[in-house]
Amino acid sequence: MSATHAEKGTGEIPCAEGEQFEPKIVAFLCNWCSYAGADLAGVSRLQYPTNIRIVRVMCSGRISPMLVLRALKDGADGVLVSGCHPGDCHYLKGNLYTRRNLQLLRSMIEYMGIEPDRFQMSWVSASEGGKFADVVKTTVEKVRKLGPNTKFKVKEEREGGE
Amino acid sequence: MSKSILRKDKVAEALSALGKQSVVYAPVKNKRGIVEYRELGKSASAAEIELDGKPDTPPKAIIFPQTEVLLTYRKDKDGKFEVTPARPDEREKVIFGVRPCDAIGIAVMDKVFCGGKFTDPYYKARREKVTIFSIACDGPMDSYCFCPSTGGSPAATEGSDVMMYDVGDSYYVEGVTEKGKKALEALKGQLGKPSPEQEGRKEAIVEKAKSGEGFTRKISAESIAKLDNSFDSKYWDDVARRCLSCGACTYYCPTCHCFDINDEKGGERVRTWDSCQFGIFTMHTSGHNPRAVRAQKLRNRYYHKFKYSKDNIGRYLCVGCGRCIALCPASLDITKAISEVK
Amino acid sequence: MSDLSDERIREEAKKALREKGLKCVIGWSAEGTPTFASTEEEIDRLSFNRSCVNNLVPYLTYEIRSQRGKTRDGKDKVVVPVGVVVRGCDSKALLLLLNEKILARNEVFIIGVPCSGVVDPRAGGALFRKCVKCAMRNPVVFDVLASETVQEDEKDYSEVEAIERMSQEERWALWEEILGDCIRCHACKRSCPVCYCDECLLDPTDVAIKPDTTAEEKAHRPLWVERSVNVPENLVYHLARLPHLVGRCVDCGECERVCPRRLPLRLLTTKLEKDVKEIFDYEAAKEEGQKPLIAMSCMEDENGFIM
Repeated sequence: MSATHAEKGTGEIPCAEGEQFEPKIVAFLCNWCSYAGADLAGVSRLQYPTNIRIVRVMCSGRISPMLVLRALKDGADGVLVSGCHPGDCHYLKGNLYTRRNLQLLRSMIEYMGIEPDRFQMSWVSASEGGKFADVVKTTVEKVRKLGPNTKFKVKEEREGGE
Repeated sequence: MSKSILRKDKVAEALSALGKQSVVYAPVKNKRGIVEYRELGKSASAAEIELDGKPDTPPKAIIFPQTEVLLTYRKDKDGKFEVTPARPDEREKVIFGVRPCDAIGIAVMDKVFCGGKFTDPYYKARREKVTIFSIACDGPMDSYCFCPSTGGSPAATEGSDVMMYDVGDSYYVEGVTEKGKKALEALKGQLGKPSPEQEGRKEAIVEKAKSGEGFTRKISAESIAKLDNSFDSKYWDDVARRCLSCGACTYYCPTCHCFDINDEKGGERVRTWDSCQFGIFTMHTSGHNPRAVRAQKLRNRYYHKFKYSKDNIGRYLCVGCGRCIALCPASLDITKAISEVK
Repeated sequence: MSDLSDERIREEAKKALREKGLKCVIGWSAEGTPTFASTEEEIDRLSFNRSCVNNLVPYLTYEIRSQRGKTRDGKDKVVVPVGVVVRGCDSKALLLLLNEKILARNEVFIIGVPCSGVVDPRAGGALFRKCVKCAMRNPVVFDVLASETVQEDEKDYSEVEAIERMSQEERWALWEEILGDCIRCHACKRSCPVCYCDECLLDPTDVAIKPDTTAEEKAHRPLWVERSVNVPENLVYHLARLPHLVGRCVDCGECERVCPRRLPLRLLTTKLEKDVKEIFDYEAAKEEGQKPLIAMSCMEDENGFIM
């Protein structure tokens, strides 16, 4: 039975020896600020790493801790959540709720021995294309340093009275 | 060699002799004081085993694991599915130090998985590789035991391959099945001849077991018979009022064998334990749930243990180990519930 | 203490049963089993002593919510009030439910018992770890108090702080071992006094399907935690329980008490409570009419780690 989990293809990026580890990062961006910021970074031809996979959401307030945890469990090496600056939320307060919720999640992740840097958050407005590129660079750097996400992967099957 | 003596100081030696041909599981105390079956040489050593007392967990997970991959599947580039059945565990296994109630539990599960019209190949593959060394109990192991009420006995040999009796500084060892006798041959170096005194002590344990002496918890046959007519009784609402519908009783039961099969992420078909106390257990696709409330779920558990199983496989499913009483967060007591049935 | 308070509990329970027409009074028997007393005779069996370990609030919620609904002509059904005996920690959970308007104050009759700790049956006569140093011995919400209040201690965070001081690898080793031992029997969740949803998103064994739930909805219902029991699934299960308890968990320790694997689950809830206090200066069920932490948005919150 043991081989089955090892064969489980959860989308790990294979990297040859000596090659740099390229993390896979899921980025949840709010529609009104951060996604537009990412767009601006693109049209301004700013260079930033290609490790992120963007999921556009209407508001960062939509990001429940479950989405962060599930992304990490399903093979992401890092998660980035980005929304409007406090006070600029299109829905007035969505990002403030998220700030409370996810700050505690990060603290709990850290407490349980998971590298807190796997989970990053930022405020990026629609005009901050440069900041978006910087945020992505920083996130990728931090996660690259941590290496692949192994704590959310099945190590071995337990069998017997354990 | 069917009747012999194993000195207690030679148990570790005997375990390593058994370990040469098979994987040995024995009760070991974990970090938090729970005695459970562990694979010796992997997550525990022979020096740590706890043979006195009833282990806190039944050995059922060795034969019927909580999570079991049945097959894996993958879609290739042309959209075709490639299905790989799981390889059965080929290793011979010995479970050492099982109590008679738990051994009966395995015998009952054999009837469920292999006894009828259909045979469960996954269960059977594991079961065939297992040899069970049981230790007879000298009376009840704790205040929760009630095996004589459910057709068991502290010295019952059903389900065991080798039976051991604690006769002081040694175990009196007896091969019950052919498989057990064969396993004992590997222990020739450790086994000795029993003295008449030791024979006598063994007989005393068997006699004591027959009398059912020392058991304070009981379920009478009359109250079990009452179940026939009390299905619609309001009584169950009162009993279940305390139930929290968690799965602790079922997961710790030596005979609870319900399972669920799901296709999980990454292309695996997984079989996991299920519990009749959970909400989705009897949920129909239509949305109708025939056992939606606590009282119905709990009643079903009791009826399954004492009535349906008797009708279907000719034996109570309950083996009287008392773990569900000991562990229930709401102090529900199956002996009390059945005894007071109205 | 026990004899006097027993008499007081019974006296008050009987009085309320007569005057307020209670459906029943939920309390403990002398052996510590949860008991539902609906007659004066049954009330005479109620007691409070060191073996009364169960938090009775989940039963109260169930008794009241199962009465809710609409009558045929579309009016709200009348809820018959229910009595309950609560210790300090239980009363905090009850206050939270009142604040969240899950229960209404006039639906419950509360007999408070100040408590100087209950005994852990698995620890052979010793107090529960949560009871050794306890900052909530006296009930915070009650109609009557069955005995004199007792001295409370400072909240003890020493175990949590010890873990915080560990290195990240040590912490992971600790939790990996604990999580590997969980069998996901859901006892922690089902016994939690502040968990009351009919359907739980953490629990693939718990789906509320109504007659009007379409096949489409059922098929696309997200499965946040798989049925497989292994370290990652257990990690997500326990980590995901916590955001739902933010600013709500009163750290009554019921999850730890009921765990058949004896997992130290209070290490998680105490840490959560500590964080909530330190970061947001908020305490669950501190006073009546308090707003939930997560429902309050605050411009002044620190940005913390946010870039």
